[in-house]
Amino acid sequence: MLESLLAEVVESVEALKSVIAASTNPDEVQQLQLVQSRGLGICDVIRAEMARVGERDVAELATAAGKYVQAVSQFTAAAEGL
Amino acid sequence: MTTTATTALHDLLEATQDAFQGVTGWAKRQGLQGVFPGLKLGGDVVIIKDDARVNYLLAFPDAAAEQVEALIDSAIVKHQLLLTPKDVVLCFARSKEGLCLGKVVDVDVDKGLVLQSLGKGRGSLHCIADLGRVPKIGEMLDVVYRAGKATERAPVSLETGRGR
Repeated sequence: MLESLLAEVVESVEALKSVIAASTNPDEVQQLQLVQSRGLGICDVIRAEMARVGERDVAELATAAGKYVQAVSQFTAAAEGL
Repeated sequence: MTTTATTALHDLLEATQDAFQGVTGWAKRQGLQGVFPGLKLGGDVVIIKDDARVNYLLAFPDAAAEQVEALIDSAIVKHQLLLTPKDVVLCFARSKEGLCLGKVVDVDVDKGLVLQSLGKGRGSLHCIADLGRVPKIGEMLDVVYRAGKATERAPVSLETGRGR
């Protein structure tokens, strides 16, 4: 589960890269990079959990990561339509 | 940027902020880390306790964790500090006003980091980008973090008791 969760977040972060590359607005780029770094932060937490030994309760982590993926997905879809 | 694009970006920022806080809140409850919004390094910062190494690992979104750890370790050795990486991390965990007053003990321009001793075996790490200048080793640095922004305060003169 964590592996697929990580893959989804990584995919979202990758999707943001192309939006950033296409942007000519420095403010927009900066804000998108912040969103990107948040995604990478989530990746770090997921990786830390993957490396952890013992009982795991990842429901909340999955919810948070899912929310991130959904938000980025909506944004990139909207960006493509603009 | 069009109004539509601005709105979409605003929504994205809002939505992912919640998501990240959810993650950090989760990790905090797991006893894994603390979140220190005053310190930015390419984004929000998470500190994770690495069980395997019985140590604290600085996990930065830009994957600079090893670099940061190495900087702290080397500064401790180089300047013979009575400071352990754990102390440094614990200092980040402070939840008061975010005041950091003390001598700069190391500056790494390449990594964009400044290590400051706060005395009593504690230290703090700052981003040069947040400070807006490169401090010199040995100088007193007085930084306050408010709302995620670093502000360097004017030094107080010992003779007059006033700032410059």
